[in-house]
Amino acid sequence: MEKVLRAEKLTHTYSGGDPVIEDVSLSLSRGELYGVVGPNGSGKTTLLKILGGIIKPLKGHVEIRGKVGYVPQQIFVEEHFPATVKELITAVGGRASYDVLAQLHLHTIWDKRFVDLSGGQKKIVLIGMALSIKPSVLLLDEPTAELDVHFRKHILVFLKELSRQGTAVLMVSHDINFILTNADRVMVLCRKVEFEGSPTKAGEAVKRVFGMGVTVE
Amino acid sequence: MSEVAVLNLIIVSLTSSILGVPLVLKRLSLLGAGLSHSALGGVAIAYLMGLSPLPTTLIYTLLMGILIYTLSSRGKVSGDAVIAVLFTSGVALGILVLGDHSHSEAHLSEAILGEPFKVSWYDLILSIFLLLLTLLFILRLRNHLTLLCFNEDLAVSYGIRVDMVAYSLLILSSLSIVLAVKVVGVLLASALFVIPAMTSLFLVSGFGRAVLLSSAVSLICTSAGVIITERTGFQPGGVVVFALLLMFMASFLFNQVRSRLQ
Ligand SMILES: Nc1ncnc2c1ncn2[C@@H]1O[C@H](COP(=O)(O)OP(=O)(O)OP(=O)(O)O)[C@@H](O)[C@H]1O
Ligand SMILES: [Mg+2]
Repeated sequence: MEKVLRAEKLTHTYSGGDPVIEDVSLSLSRGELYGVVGPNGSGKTTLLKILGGIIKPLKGHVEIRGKVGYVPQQIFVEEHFPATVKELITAVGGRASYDVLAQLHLHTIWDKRFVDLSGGQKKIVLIGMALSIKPSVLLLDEPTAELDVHFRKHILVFLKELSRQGTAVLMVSHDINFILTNADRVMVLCRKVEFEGSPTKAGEAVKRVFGMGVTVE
Repeated sequence: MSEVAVLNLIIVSLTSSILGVPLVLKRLSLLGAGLSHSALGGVAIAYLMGLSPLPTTLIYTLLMGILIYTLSSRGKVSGDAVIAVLFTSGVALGILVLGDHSHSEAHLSEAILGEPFKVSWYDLILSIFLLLLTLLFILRLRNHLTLLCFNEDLAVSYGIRVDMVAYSLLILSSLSIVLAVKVVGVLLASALFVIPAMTSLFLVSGFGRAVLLSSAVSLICTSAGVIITERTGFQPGGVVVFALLLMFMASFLFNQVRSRLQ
């Protein structure tokens, strides 16, 4: 299978402290749905930022074919930030991003300011922004946090369709069930890679890292 | 006021009001105040070394702006602390050099209060040039600027050269703050940036519209200020900033009432 992302032996420390991730390697194939789970502070966001080119790792390197879309875990924006949903999405992808709006049902909030949206709506706009660069790899940090049941389902269907069309999707989530039931392959991260492989075999590593078992629905 | 002085005042406040929007959104509102005060240091150095004041102050302030931004954006020191340090050191330098000699006291009060009537063709041409550069910057890099102000991490992930955009904003702001200091003085210069921007942010949605409205607010207040100055003989800087403040309060109240009603 054609690889669209290859990361080798990533190690990173913030301002000279202890490594927050160490020797993390992974690769993504076209159209793969990949999940990363791990406890708070285990380095998931750091890993995603390195893959998204936002921070340079201390060691290791990342190779990507095509573009990478990044959806942050959370985002703080000035209270009076005037930009509308339309402005933000077209600022990223130009007119070509209009179809992203339709796919994500964003046209109802098209002319609203980003700051006036609910937490879940903000998340969807951030996903829309990432998609409008037509990425070959989509990185999502906590895509389902703050989403209601309805939108969770909607996003899931959408991500699956996206991967069917060939986009590799990497999602980080605290929702272990969501990851284990939907990803093709998972990583259990706790500074180092504790497990990588099929979700059906991840149970033991999850138990070890989180100190408790998870029953997959 | 002479025609050159009027035109210069209008152009300088227009440029400031345009740059004010991204500055406020990038949480750099204090940068204007910091830079205008450190401009005083530039005036002092020019006086001390017998250099021509405007070019010296432009270069000095530009360097200070780059220093402030580089220190704070590299995360070494918090932005407001850096600004506070440079702020006061500029003033200290100004008072030390200009406040002491009997001849130079005039320079100090001119720098603090501005010299709105002493405007040369040279100043005007510089102001026009800066306005054109600012327009070019805003029009060409509008999308990049919006995303940079929105979230720097995201902007980086889209492949935007954030340093290039941020430093362009910084350089334009440093230069226009010096021109603003020359017209309305150290104490009021940053008002020309921050007040019209905040006024417009209370009222509209859309980055482009905010910039447009900020310029409109600035044009209206400056023109009103010029007319009032002609009639009363007050200092134009004070009058313009007072007009801006009235607009600001009106838009703040409007915004409050509107959000209560919703
Ligand atoms: N900008 C930063 N500066 C210094 N340390 C940081 C920074 N960002 C994260 N860290 C540290 O790095 C470690 C990993 O953080 P990271 O955000 O990658 O974890 P995470 O797995 O995403 O956690 P969460 O599940 O809470 O989102 C933490 O110990 C955190 O304190
Ligand atoms: Mg995280």
